[in-house]
Amino acid sequence: MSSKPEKSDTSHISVQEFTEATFTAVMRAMDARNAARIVPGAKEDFKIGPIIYGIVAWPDGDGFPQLQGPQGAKGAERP
Amino acid sequence: MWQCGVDQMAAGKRGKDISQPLCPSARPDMPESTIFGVIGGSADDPHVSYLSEPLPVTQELLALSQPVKPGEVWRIAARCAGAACMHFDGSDCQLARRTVALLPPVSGDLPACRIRPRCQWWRQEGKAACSRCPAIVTESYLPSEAVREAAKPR
Repeated sequence: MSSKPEKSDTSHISVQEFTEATFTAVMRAMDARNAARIVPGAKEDFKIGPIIYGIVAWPDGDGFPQLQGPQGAKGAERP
Repeated sequence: MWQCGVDQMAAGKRGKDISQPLCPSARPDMPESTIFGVIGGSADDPHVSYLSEPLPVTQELLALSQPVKPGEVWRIAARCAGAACMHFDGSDCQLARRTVALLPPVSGDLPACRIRPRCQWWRQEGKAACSRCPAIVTESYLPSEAVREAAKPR
């Protein structure tokens, strides 16, 4: 009788519930990662990278310099 | 009433200009990064629960998301990067535009989201963006085909 709907148009959580909700979210994210590895026809686990819904790379600093491309911040780390 | 949280957040310690728009699908290392939602639901049907008070990103909070990435468990807002973002076309956020064009609405009512007054997607697309926002995971291993398509920079 006291069960809450999993989905609600107005679902929100308090700061006190944040840690527990985050723990559940981490479990959900690990499920998603595991499910994403299952690729029909692949010989072994084939890890598919995530899609990024938003800005991909972030240059340091407050000045918002123009990115060189989607891989901007990562590419220059090699010696 | 819900505007109070984001106004306090914006006008608080950091003294930032509250007229500057926030990106609602940002990275934790961006200026003014703030957690405003936690991803709930299931792995293949995620649904954002919105925080009653947004939390500024700290190292302590980031540790809670281990071993996965913050974008897999939270929705983070930060100052819109404008021209530094590949989704910005000079005047509008094309990611917000594609979100409305390609994704189905998942919420009939406006979600109880505290960043709305400063949200770039809300400012640009209005309720149509808010009705789709709860289904968005910033970093997703199981995106739908529509999400995958909308996420692609043009």
